[in-house]
Amino acid sequence: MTLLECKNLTKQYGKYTALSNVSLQIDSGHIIGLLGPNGSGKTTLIKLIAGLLSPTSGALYIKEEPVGIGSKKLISYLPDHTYLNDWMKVKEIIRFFADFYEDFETERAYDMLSKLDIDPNRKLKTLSKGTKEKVQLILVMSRKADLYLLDEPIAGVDPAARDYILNTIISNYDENASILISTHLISDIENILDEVIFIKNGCIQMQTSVDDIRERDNKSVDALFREVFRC
Amino acid sequence: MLGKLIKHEWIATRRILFPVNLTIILITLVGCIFLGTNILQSKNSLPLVVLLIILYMLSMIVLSMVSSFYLLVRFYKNLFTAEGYLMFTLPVTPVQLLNSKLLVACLWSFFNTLLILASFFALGFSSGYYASIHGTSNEKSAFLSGFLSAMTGGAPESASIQDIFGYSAVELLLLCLAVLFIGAFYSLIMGYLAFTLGQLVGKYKLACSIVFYIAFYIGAQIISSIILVAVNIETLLDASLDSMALTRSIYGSLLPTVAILHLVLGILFYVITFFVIRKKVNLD
Repeated sequence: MTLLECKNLTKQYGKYTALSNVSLQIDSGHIIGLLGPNGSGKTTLIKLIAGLLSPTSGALYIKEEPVGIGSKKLISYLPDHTYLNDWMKVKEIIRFFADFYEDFETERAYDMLSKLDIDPNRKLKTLSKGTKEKVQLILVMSRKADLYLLDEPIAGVDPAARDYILNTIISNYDENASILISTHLISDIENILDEVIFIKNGCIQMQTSVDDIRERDNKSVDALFREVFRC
Repeated sequence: MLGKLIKHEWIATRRILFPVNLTIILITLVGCIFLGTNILQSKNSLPLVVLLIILYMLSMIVLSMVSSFYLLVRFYKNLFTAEGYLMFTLPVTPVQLLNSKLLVACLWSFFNTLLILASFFALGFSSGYYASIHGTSNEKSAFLSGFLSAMTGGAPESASIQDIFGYSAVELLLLCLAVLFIGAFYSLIMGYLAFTLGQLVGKYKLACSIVFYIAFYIGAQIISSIILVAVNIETLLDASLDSMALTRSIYGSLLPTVAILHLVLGILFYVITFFVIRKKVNLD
């Protein structure tokens, strides 16, 4: 089933074109890597899907509905930076999410917090940057969403935490849901990906399955990425 | 969802505004206690009285400004900085976000202004009460007795609320409350519009928002002044009116005119903010 469809999506900031005529389709039940160098348009595409940006032209549908309240109920979004009110306690943010998202599972959130040894009574401003990012990931992955948008989820944490985060992603998503992960740390996430989308200068270069890359090109995703985006 | 937004907005704002308003109450209580004693009554304590009055006025101005400034900053920070990534991805409409913030902010602003006015009256009454009990100052005791007689219809030797303002005490109270609430709505939505329009600019969004706010403020002041003069021009030029009739006539038209003007401008600002926030917000 088609979960996400972009038709000729363009986003301009003044004269600068961040995304140009992007058309793509994402089906349910896949983990997709949105891969590209810095400034390629990954975050812009994710923010358009999340409804934080309005497209300059083109259309975007989530389960055949345009971006709006309906799509926001289906999407769980993790930005590439901290975005929570840092005066709040972790447990207060959990209550906030539980209030607004019907699909939020409070017990799952507390379970993940205890596994990571994060005290729910602590205020966010007292946590380190890495721990804040873990809290954000826990909040996002505690939802039973249809589409998870994870923008650079492993960029700011140490390698040990990366493993935990990737395990959290794999073990907490429904098989009917899809995950779109934006990153340039390809070797770290390659093993969990079903599909990849290569994006460069705001244009989609390639959308293919990881199995195809391995069988057809006899390469790893990381090797193909280095080849496609060679400076 | 609007109810949930209002609940969380209330929780977030009370963190700052509850202590601010509590401080006003505490300052007022301390002031009333001081005025109820003979500490400040001797002639030698005049410099101290002047200093305390200045400190009191400054603290009221600062607390009022902190309240207004915080409410505007809260709107900007919660919607147009990193926190906006959370707020604009909630399953709510942008207009619900606007309405929840506006409603809670209006109530806080209204309450804050009421509290400061109540503080002025409480200190005035305390001073008057002490003077009337101890007979220390005719002016101070006259304030209390004059106010009470005006509220109760006017003693033969003093003017009533009706004589001065052209309204009964209850009408005047209700009108003042309406003016205060509409004034809170008007000044907040003017700030909200400035911040929202600032987001449409490519660079220097915050600086542009401040420029927009200053421009709206000056523009609204000019419009208000022209309309207020136009409404009262006949009264001001009428040489046959005595001072009481002139005051009554000006007050009689001033409060409703200000209320209507602020309401019209506030609605205009709201409608523009409504359309911009619904269609054009881009969190870069």
